[in-house]
This record gives sequence, structure tokens and C-alpha cells, in this order.
Amino acid sequence: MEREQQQQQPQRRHSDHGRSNRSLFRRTVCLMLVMGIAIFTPMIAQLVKLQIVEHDAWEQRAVSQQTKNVTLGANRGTIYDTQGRVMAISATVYRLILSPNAVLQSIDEEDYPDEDGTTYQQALQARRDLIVNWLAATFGYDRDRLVQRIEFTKSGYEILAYEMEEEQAELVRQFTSENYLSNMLYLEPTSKRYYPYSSVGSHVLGFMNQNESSGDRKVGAQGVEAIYEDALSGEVGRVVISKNAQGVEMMSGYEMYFDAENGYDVTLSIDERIQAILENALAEGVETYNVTDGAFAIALDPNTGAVLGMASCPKFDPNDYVEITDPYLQEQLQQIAAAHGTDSDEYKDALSSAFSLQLRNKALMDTYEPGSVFKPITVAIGLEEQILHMDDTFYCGGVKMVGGWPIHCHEHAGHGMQSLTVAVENSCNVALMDMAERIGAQTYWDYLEDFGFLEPTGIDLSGEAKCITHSEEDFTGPYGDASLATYSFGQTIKVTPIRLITTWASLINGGHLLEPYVVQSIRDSAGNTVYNHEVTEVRQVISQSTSEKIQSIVQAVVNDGSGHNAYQAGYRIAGKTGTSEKKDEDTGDVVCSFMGYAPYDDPKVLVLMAFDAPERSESNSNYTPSGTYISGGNITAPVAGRVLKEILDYMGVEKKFSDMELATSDVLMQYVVGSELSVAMGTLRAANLAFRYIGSGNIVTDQIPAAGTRIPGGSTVVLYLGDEKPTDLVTVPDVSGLSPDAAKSKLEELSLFLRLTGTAQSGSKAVYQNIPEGTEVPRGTVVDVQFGDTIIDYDGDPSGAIPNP
Amino acid sequence: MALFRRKRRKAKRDLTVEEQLARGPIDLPFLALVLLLTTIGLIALLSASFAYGMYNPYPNIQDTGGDPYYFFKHQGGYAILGVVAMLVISKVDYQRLRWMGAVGLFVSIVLLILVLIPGLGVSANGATRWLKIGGVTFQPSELAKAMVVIAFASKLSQRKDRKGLPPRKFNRRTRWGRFCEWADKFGLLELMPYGIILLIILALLAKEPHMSGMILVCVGAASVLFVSGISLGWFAALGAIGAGGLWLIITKTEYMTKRIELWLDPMSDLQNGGYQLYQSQVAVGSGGLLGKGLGNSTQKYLYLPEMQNDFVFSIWCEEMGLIGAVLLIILFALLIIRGFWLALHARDRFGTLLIVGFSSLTAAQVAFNMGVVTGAIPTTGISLPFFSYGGTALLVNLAEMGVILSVSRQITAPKSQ
Repeated sequence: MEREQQQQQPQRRHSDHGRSNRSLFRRTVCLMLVMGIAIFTPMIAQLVKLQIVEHDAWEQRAVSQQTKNVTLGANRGTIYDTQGRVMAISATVYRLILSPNAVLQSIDEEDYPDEDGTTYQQALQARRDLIVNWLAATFGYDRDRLVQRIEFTKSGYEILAYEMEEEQAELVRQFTSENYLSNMLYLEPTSKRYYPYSSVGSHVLGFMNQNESSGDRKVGAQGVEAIYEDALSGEVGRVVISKNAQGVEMMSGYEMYFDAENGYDVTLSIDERIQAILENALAEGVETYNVTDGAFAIALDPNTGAVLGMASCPKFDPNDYVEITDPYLQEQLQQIAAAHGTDSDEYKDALSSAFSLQLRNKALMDTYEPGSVFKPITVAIGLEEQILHMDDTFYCGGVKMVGGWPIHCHEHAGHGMQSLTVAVENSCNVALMDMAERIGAQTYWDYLEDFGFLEPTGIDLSGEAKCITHSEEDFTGPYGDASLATYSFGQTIKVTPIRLITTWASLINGGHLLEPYVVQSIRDSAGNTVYNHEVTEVRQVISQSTSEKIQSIVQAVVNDGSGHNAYQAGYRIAGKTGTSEKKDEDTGDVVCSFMGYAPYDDPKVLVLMAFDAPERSESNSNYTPSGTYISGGNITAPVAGRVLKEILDYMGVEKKFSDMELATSDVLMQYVVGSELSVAMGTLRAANLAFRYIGSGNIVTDQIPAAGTRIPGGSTVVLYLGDEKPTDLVTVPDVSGLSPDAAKSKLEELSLFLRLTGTAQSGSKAVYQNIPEGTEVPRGTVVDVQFGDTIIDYDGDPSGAIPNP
Repeated sequence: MALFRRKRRKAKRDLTVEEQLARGPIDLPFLALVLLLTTIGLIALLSASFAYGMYNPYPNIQDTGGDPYYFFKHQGGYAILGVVAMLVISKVDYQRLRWMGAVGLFVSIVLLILVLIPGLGVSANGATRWLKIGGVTFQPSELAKAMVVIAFASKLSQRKDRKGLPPRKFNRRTRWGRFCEWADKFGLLELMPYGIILLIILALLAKEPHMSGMILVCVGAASVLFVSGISLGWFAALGAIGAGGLWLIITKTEYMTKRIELWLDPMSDLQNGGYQLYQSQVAVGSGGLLGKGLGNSTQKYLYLPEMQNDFVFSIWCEEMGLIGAVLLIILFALLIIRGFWLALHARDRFGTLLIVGFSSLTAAQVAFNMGVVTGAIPTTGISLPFFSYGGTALLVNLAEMGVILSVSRQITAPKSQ
């Protein structure tokens, strides 16, 4: 065709044709370059960007959506006390999850093809009602709230219960499987921490809660749970499984396992029994004396620094740490609730302060002025520096001028001439100020530093407070006289209880300042010990001989001095009382404390106990409303003495009696039934027992108590000569306030026996009986009655001239 | 048919020049590239669609019966059919297409109208694009694309014949005549029929709606018009109008604005198209340099929607990495370039224009598809030739290649001039 045309149009046609073909060629080549190369270039650039430059980011996104991370829970380690009692243990509980969205999806609208959708709505409502009604009926959840939540269909994850126990979970499983609801209402395992001894040791153990960084996982808060969180929690394991977009696991996909590592088990140095003894004693003391600002007690092994018990009042129950359990705080809250209502700000403030108060470990986080308990430290410094000697004497005229100010002794008349030991027994402030003056501020300061008052103890608990002292410049400077003088008897210096008891341990263990601890050992889940506490000595502060001298002095305090209300026969208790003014509060309230240990020839346990601000009858009175003179010697020493006795009994420390004590120590009742009266009389006398008889015969027909019973020596047993022995119960009388003799005869009238504990001097009065008044007991029962004296050992300076740090 | 023709030929003593030319050797490099791409396409589709077929996530839309090979089997059948069709077409003297083009164009326009008649058209995803004839669904727009190229090439190849002729006379007395004379002066009159046909087809496609079909029809037509020597001024003018229109559509219509936004930030709306774009980029990006290995894609496990349709290439990139992706692009580029090379050497203008049209169509499809998959351009919905699932598209693509091969047979002879 073209050839034909060419022939028809020779010349002009040809050149025109050539130009046209050139244009065709040029344009084709041009299009070829565009279509073959140019348009692919940006694709390759984009591919390089995605696959090389941003590869890591995209791969990360791919992996995160394509894999399912299944967490393998690690069991949290168990916390044991030193005897292996379980203090905290984790167990599996469940979260109850409702998926409102799944409930909505479970009814297919297409299955109900009526015009207005009524039957569909009815079917959906029926299913919702089924779930809501069952939940409300079974677990008592609020119906309205449930309806609200189930109708929030955007959500696929409504947590109805956080910690559901196995029995309840089983109910849920039954219900959902019977009604085919298991994708709408289901359980997720989680773990819960249980504290079998509830509040015992709560401050040391701590509790579990969620914090900002842990998300919805609970972690240890406070105490051992917090400090040893890493060890206890273990490593959460994971299984990474590839899945498709519908969440279905892929069999051909890859799987990776990261084993869960169970948490380590922690064994405390705390002994649950000793801890309970301390806490019970605190609770009892607080209740008896209406103590307003709480109380604390620590029991320490002075030879190792092991904390055997650490109690603080008020305390909480770590199983439910928000609940206010302390009766005193409860009462206060009720008063505020009654006055302002539970919705008032006052109530909420009070509730939150009560909450933080009960979580506070006073033994660790609070500081207080130790008062006379500090005095042996002053003496120890003087003895160690050989500035003081055991045969030194001190004169107390009732007042001493320090820096132009008079500082009074609690005995305004003065103690007169006293030896070193007697000065401490009397807790004489003037003598102590004299000693400190002789020691000098710089030396005294150096020893404060050596005794650790300027540093934390290093105990493995968080929140330890710092002791509050004057600065070194002030203390050793020209105006430091007053602070030196007041430090000598433990005022104007504020110490933490744990620091004070640790320092005290060094006074009685040969001068070794130790690091106290609460965790004895840590074991992995296979039982291998991964950590065991070694006794850590910070430094030796005083020599062995100084330590021995101090021991002999404080031993005398309990035997003869202001601490003798802590006396318990056979237990060889030594210690020092303290009644310190809370100068910085200016309320006139005092802290009544006692630091004691036993047995004094081989100290096994050192106890510090203090009651912060027992209630006074009037604002300027030194007596409680019940008439007890408020002092460490009267309020704390009897309780602490009893605590020491119980602890030593529990520890199985053998009692040793002095000759005097032996006279009243327990003896074994002999079998005298059938003997002639005269024979029986001889047997009983040999056993250090008195007797009375009922009836008139010559042959003993019955006896109280039965043979083999242990009764205190010197008790009067009852012999029946022909008369029938009554088998009825007798009611224990109230013996409080009676002298030992009066109490003994009152009890023996009822065929009960008195075991005398505590101090028993002529002026002593019964302060405590182990079987409360009104209890019905069989005849022949032994009632322990503790006697005590009124001790006046006020530490503060009544003139109030001493500035506080 | 071949048998039938051989009988007829035996009856004749000699073959005409035309017939001899039509029996020339086929262009083997081009054939090899087509077969290679078809094979790779099938393998890629098998890998990409495996999980979808197995999990059968939307049985009411497309029931695979849980057969992982479902898509592969269907596509494989069409591929065999398509290759056979391609070889048969390559045997046909492409000069016959000169008259077929006009008829084909007419038929496709009729079919496009039929699609729009309710009851005849088959709808999916809110668009009515298919005709169901005897159990086989068929997409007329695919045919229309090819026919536009053939018809335009056929008409434009005669264009130069009129060059140099004295200007046509018009009756100046009528207003129409004056207008025609005025229009003829700068070639508008010549372009009118093309423009009208194009507008009719575009309107029909817009009615479906079929955005990607419109783009491709335009590309096919434009490439043929461009090469045939239409004044560049027209392209500049139409380009300007097109760009302006596009700008208006993008900024003024919510639909397009949203698409553009999605493209710029696929994460902005994961519920809708953004999810697909995002997942596609996750697939491509996670492939890295070497890829995860053939068959090891993880994105195909239902993360990437439509992985068997427009997004086969993402899975390919994920499995074969940058190396595999670039290799594939090079294969496509070679196919295009070889096509254009054939166009340059074609026996006549008609052959050149045919190849230019079909090659440009292929190139545009590849570029648009890869551009979307890699996030370089906004979503268009254009499938990847030889790779994406779709019987009609594969058949038409292979038939187009058959036409190019047919043109290639007549190259060995010296160019006719």
C-alpha cells in the first residue's frame, strides 16, 4: 500500500515521509526511555528505602504483629521466717474478664430476618440478661454497673474481678461451659500474694501493689517485698509463637521459648513467734496506757545483728493493706465520720493519714530522743577513753549550770554522792552531765561518729531515717556545752530505734558495731543457697573490757535500779529505762522506753521497746488516768521484761536462779495421799512447800494440787483429811494493786497458787496477772502475777531551757 | 484453524509477499521474557495466595474451599489458555487487525454498556465491572483497553498518507463549514473522532466505576497518539488540563483527598485502605535485601488483604528481598524495552503503533502497581500483569503479547520504504 503511494508521489512525498519517520523514531525512542527505564527508577528507589534503609523498623513491625507473646508466669518466691514458717506465699488466682463485644457478636443479626430487628434485640437482651443475672446472683456484683458494662460494646476486655479464688473460678467455668459463653466471659490466671500470719511482721514483709512502672502487675512495695523484688519476682518467661492475622497459631511457624525462672525464696532472720510476742506486747501496752502516738519494738541478736523481730504500732494487714485495722485509728476515724460524715474532706484526709501512719515502720523510719537509754553510751565513752573509772564518784545537787543555764536532775533534791554504777542506776542527769564534761565535746563527737549515729545502719530495709544531731561545728564549738550536756542523757539528739539498738548491741557484745539485717538467706527454686548473710562488723568501737563494765552497770539497773520492774526471776535480765521528753513537739508528751537484754551473762536477745506518748490524766500531769506514773520504768519495763521472758522461754534458754530466787522457784508437788499427816508434812517441807488442811483426820485422803504439778516454792498446798475434795471451778480474783503477800493469800483462799514474777519488794504492787480476773479455772491452778514499783526517772529538764537540734 | 489454513495454503501455488512475511520467525527474546514472567507470576501467585486459600477467610466473597492451591489452579488454567492464545495470535497476520480494531472497539463499547444494564453486570466491592457469560466472568474494560490501542493504531497509521495533500475544502457558507476549516487548521478536526471515542469509553468506565481502567485507556491512547506524531502542543494542553483536573479532583473531592492522605500516612486510617498500604509496606520492608525465602512470607497469613490480587508483588518483595524485586523489575523493563525495540524495527507504522500501545499499557500497569505496593504513589487498583489473580486480565495481557509477537514476525524483512 505504502509502496504504491510512494510511486505516485515521488520527490516531495519522500522527504516528508522521511521527516515523519524520523519523528516516529524519535518519539518511540523517547517513549521507550520513559516506559522502560524512567518509570521504574522511583520504584527501585522506594524499594531501597523500604528494604534497606527502613528495613529494621518494618521488620520490627512485622514481628510484633505476627507473633503472639504468651507469658509464662514466674512464681514469686516465698518468704519464710527463720524457722521456716511461711510468711508470704503466692498462689494462682484469676481475673474475670467480660467481653461485651463478643456478647454482641455472638448473636448474628442475619439469623433474625424480621423487619424491625425486634427478635434480634430480644435474643441479644436475653443473652445479656443471662450473664448479668448470673453474675449478680453468684458474686453479688452491682446489677446496674454490670448492665452498663455489658452494653459498652466497643470493649472486648472488661475486668470484673481481679483476684478470684479457685472455688469461684470453678463456678465461672461451669457456667460458661454449660451456656457456651467461654469466649464472652472467661478467666485469666494471675497470682496473688498471701500472708498467712496476716499482720504479723507486716512492716518488715511489706506488701504488693501496682505502681506506675509495673503496669497492672503487682510488685513489692515497702519492706522485704520491695527491697528483694528482683530476687523474689524471678524472670517472667515467654513463648513467642507466630500467628496469622486472625490470631490463629501457625503450626509451621517458628516458636521460641524463654523459660520462666521462678523467684527466689527468702528466709528472714525474723522469727514469727518473737515477732508476735513483740506485737502483742505493743498492742497490750498501747491499749492499757492509751498510747496516742504509737509504739515500736525491736528484738535483736546482739552477737550477729540479726533482727529477730521488728514491730511497729499501728500495723496493717498486708493481705489488705488499705484496711485500717488499728483500733485507736479506727476510733479516731469513727469520731471524724460521726462529726463530718464519711464524704467530708476531713474524713478523707484522716483516712489517708491513718493509711500512711499504719504503713509507717516507726522502728526504722522515725527518730526520737532516746533519753536515759542513751546514758550507757556516755558512760562507755568515758570508760573506753579511761576518763571515767568504775570507782569514780559523782555528786548530784539536783541541778547543774551549763553555759549559764541550770539543767535539773529529775530528782530535784539531788541524788547526793553516788558511785558510777549507782549514778546510772539512779539515772542521774547531773552525774551524766559531769561525765560528758570530762570527756569533752570533740571526743564525744568522735565516738558518736564511731557508734554510727552519723550514718545509716545499712539494714536491708528501705526508708531508714537519719539520726538528727547538731552539726560537728556547733557541737564542738564554743556554744556546744548545752548540747554536749543534754546528749549525755539522751536529749536533743534524735535517733532511729534501729540505730540505737544496733549501737547498744555493740555495748554488750564486746564493742563490735554490726550491720543489722532481716534477710538471713536466699535460695533459688531448686533449693540452692544463692545468698547467706555473713555477720558484718562495721568496726569495733569499744574494747571487750569496757563492754563488760557496761554490762555490769546495766545489770545493776534491773536488779536494783530504775529498771527493776523488768525483773523476771531466773531470766537474768539487764537493761536501761528511758523517759524522754518530746522537746520539739512542746506537748509535754514523753516517750517511755526500755532497752534490755538477757541473759546478762550470755546475751541472746536485746530488746528495745517504746511507747510514744501514753495518755496523761491532765495536760501537766505525769500520771496516767489509771494512776501509773508515766515513765519507762513503770510503763515499758514491765512489758519488756515479760517480752524478754517469753522470748527466752521460746528460745529455750535455761533459767538460772539466784539463791533468793530459788526460794520461790517452782517445785514438784509430791504424792502424799494415803500418808499420815506428819509424814506428809515432812515431805512437803522438804520440798519447800507450806500446807493447810481441811477436815479432821490423820490420813491424807486427797491433795491440791495433784502430784507432779509444778508450783512455786513456798506455796501453801491444801490437804484433805477425810473430806471430799471439791471438783467445782473457782473464779480467778482481781489481784491488781495488791502487795505480793496479799495477792498470795487472796489466791490461796481459793486453792489457787501465786507464781510471783517481776520484782517483789515490800512496796511492789501487782501490775499484771496472766489469767484475767473472772476466768473459771480448776482448783490448784497457778496464776502468774507480775509485781512492779513506781519508778520516777524523768529525763527531761523541767525548766525546758535546752534547745533542740 | 491452523490445520484448516494449511490445507488452503497447499491448494495455492505460491504465498503472497504478505503471507511470506507473516510466516517469519518469531522474536525469541521477547517470547522468552513473556514466558518467564508468566511462570514467575504463577509461582509468586501460588506463594502469595497459599494462606488465603487455606484459611478461606471470606467464604461468602470468594470461597476457596480451603484449598491452598485454589488461586494457583484457576490462574494456571488461564495461563495455559493465554499462552496458547498468544501463540495463535502471533501466527495471525496483524494486518488483519486494521479492520478488526474498529469492530472490536464497537463490540467493547457495546459490552461496556451491557455491564451497566442491571441484571447483566456483576458487582463486587461496590463496582460493576464484570459480565457473566456462560459461567465465565469477563471484564469488558480489559478488552476495551486493547481495542482502543488497536483501533487508534490502525487509524493513526494512515495519518501520514494524508500529509502533504492540499488542505481540505470546506463550505465556507455554513457556520459548520467555517468551524471545520478553523478546526482543521491546527488539527482539532483530525483529533475529534479519537477524542469522542475516548470520552465515550471513559464515561462508561467512570459509570462502573473503574478508575484504573480509565487511567490505562488514557495511557494506551496517549502513547499511540504521541508516537504517531500528533503535535506536542496537544499533549501539553491536554497534560495541563489533566493535571489541573487531577488537582481539582484531589483537593476538592473527599474521596481522592482521603486516598492521598492515606498514601502520605497509611497509619492515619488503618480501618480502611490505609491498613492495606501499611501492611504492604510492612511486607516489603521486612523482606530486606535477601528476603525471607520463597514461600516464607509471614505477611501473607492474612495480614495483607488482597495479597492474591494487587499485592502479589509485596509478597514477592518480602520473600525475595530487594534482589528479587529488582530482578523482577529488570525483567519487566527488558520486556518493555524489547517491545519498543521491536516497535522501532516494525515493518510499518501500524506495527509500531500497536507495539507502542501494548508495551506502554504493560509498562503503565507494572509501574502503577509497583508504585502502589511500595507506597510511591496513591492507591489506583491496577493489577500487575502476569502476576495478579484474574483470568481475563491474564488472557488479554498474553493476547496483547501475541500481537506484539505477530508484529515481530514481519521484522526480518527490510522495512517497507
